[in-house]
Amino acid sequence: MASAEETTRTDSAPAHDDRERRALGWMDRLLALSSLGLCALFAYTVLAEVSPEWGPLQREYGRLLAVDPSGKGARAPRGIQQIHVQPLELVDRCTSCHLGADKPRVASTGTRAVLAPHPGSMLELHPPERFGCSSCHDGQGRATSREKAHGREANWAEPLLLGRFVQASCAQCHARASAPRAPDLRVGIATMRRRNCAGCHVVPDLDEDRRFGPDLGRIAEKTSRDWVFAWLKRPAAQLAGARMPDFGLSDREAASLVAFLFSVPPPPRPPAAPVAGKGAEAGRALFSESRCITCHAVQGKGGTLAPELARVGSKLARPWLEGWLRDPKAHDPATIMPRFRLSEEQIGSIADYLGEEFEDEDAERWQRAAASALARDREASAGDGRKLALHYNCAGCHSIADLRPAKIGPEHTELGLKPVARIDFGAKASLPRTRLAYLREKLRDPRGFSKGLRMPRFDLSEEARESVLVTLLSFKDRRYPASVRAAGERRPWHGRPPPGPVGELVRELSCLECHALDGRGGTLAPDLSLEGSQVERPWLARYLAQPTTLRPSLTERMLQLRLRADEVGLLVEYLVAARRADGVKSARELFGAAGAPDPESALHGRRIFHERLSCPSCHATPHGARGYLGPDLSAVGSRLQPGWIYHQLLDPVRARPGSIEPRLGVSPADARALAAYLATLRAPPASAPTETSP
Amino acid sequence: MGQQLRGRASLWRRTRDRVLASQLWRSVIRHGYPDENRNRILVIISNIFLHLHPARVKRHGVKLRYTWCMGGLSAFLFFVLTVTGVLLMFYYVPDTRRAYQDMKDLEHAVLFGKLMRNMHRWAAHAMVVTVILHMTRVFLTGSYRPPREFNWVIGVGLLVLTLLLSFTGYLLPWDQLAMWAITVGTNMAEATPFLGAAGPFHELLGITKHNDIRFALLGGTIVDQNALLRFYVLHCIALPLIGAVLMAVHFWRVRKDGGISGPHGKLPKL
Repeated sequence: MASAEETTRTDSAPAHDDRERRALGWMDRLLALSSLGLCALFAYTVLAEVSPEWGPLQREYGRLLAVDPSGKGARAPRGIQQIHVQPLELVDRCTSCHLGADKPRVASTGTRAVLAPHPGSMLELHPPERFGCSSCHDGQGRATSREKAHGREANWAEPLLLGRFVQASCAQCHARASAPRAPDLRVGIATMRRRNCAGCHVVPDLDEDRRFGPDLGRIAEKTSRDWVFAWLKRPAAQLAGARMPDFGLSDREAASLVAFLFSVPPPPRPPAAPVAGKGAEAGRALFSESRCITCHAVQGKGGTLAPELARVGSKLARPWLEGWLRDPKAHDPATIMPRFRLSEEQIGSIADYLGEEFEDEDAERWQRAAASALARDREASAGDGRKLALHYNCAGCHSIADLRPAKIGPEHTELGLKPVARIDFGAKASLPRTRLAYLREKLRDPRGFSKGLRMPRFDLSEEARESVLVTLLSFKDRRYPASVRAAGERRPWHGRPPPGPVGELVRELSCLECHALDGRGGTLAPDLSLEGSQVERPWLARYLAQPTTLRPSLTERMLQLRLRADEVGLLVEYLVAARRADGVKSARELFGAAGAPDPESALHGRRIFHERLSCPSCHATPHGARGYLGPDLSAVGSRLQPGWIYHQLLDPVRARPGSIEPRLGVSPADARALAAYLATLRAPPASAPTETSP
Repeated sequence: MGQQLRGRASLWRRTRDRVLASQLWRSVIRHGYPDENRNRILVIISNIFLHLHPARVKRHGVKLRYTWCMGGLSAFLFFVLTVTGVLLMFYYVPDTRRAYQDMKDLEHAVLFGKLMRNMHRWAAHAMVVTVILHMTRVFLTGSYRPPREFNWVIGVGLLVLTLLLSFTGYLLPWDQLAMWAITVGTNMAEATPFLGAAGPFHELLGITKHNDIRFALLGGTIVDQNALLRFYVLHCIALPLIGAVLMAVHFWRVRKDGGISGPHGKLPKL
């Protein structure tokens, strides 16, 4: 056809015009094709716009609601759903797909997870209209397609948090160390504190100025070169539950460090004559009486506040041990070990016991290995050791000579937001490119990414590592307003002793490592903030002089510090005078003018205790109750003030936050009767309470 | 039957005649159907929109291989950008606390918002390309020579405006890319001789970082709310307005300088 047209052309077009017309024909086709392509693209765009991903889900939810008997009359939402939380500047459109998340369960949805209600009771505590979804789960709340809403988009800083990792968000409002319902966060931050991550990194919540490793000034007096060498090579092999990480030192490096540590002259010490004890048997009795295992473990049994003692006999030099037992804080001002008021003979006995009974069966092996390595590396010099100690920031945990601590690691403050693009995966190219995968591998094999990395290996258990990961991901600050943040201390474990001489004593005895005052301090033992309103004064004095077992189910019990009478008096005065609760009735207010319970209501209370309520499952009484989870109540009348018993029965959790005592809904009348009954359970006046044998 | 048809036809004819003869019709459709040369020319030159285009186009003017149609495409893309840009302005607030979220809302929640944003973005990229190709063509065909030398200068101005529009629009999403691109770009401005605080000879004019060209661009010394607002106003009002004026001059000069340049023009053969 085209050729026919050409032949019929009458004008005198030059020949190249024909070629041009053919070329235009080709371009016409190109134009037609690209126009079609553009139309198709446009049609696709329009289709994609009018058929969003949430459409089928909303129709399905509507059908399921229609067939569900409980859902009759309810209508499925149509269109984009969103939760707007003004104070948090959040817009979450998650409920466009997760249609049932904030509604009661619809039986017909069956196992369809996307339509199911939010599991657990978290939404009751954190209503979506106040907290939204992405404040806890991260992701991209404004997005309305699956992949983008879940934050699986290149460079989206906060991908969806799932499972235990949701806990990372709790720290936006709660203190990590005490966040309720966030066990991983609590364990994680405690683990990080215990392993002293803040020695090298700036870690939120761990900014206290405290040294965690022992003072190494007297290391030469304390132990042998062989032991230090073996320890440096592999701390976990020398001591179960060692806090010090594995620096992967070569024999040469370890030998240099030993040379350096033993070259530091120890500070002067008051001369003390060696003491003779009464033998290991006497020491054993003292050891158990003083409740050493509240803090120290022996072959894995006991507390975790202080080092395991199972192999200590092969480690410590006797004169050092004697000096340490005499006054730990004189050796190392930062230690948490209190000074037990022991006589010289008692010190000797305990030293006998530790030296004889805590032998290390492996001692010969590591001593031989260390001795040969130390002999081999004669060239190891104290100078090299000092350089290594600086390189690895030993002073981050220990106090050694004039070495200064330094934060040699990267800051952790914004670790939970660190862009993946800024993470160096180095040699580990096969890892998934996510923040979580990197951090997990970093904890497992810290130096595997490239040469020259300094972070040591911490040998965390799988569980502990995951908890630490949760905590690491929690390091970010969205700066939520105070109105949504939970009140609470960021560092609740950092106890504040009261002022004055009592404070001196409290500091010296490290009371606040186990007990808390005003919510700050240890969590091992009861909070003493209101002790003055809780216990009877004579009992408190007796208890401080000679602690007794209150909770038979616990390993950790009050230490027998052998306090002097004036020290006991000081503590009792302080607790009784300064530590009182408001609104606790006195005995007179509770029982009338007599101030003592009348037998009738006591009998009534006894019946309520044993017959109506479930008290006997946890407590023991002289009248047949045999529970052992809670405190033994056999002599509770001598211990607790009736007003406090009444106060606590009304609302145990309010009276003592964190108490496991259930809220039984006891009426004031019943509480009065129960208090009357319990007040009659008194210790026999003649016999002083004695320590039950462990 | 026939009577009825005739009646209907005459009703149609009578109505049509009355409408065509009405003053209202004749005031709008002034020259009737453009079916002959005179009428065609009258239709074109009496209409503000059509008169930009010549009433007669030279034969070479529609030859794609000569013009590449890049000037026309640039103008078309400017039109697309104006329409989509105005629609985007309905949803976008140049507030540092809202800008990024508004962009996200456009992408996820506004009907056809994503289409508008994507069209705006791709058309912007395409316009930079077509303007540069247009210039290349004009250069290669020697169309910048007299009598078109003034229009070449206007064209250079339009290129600069296109690039400035592209640059100012880059900040508006208020994401990391925007932030750092503008930080880098304005830091380059800081190195301008005489006018930039980091440029040579700046001390001659007493220029510091608080009164230099970078400060003028950002409305401060960092990329923050002032910079966002400045770039927004420049991007949505100032630069398009100047661009429209220059384009009018540009098209006018094309007409006045002898229409679209062509291979058989008056230019001496090279």
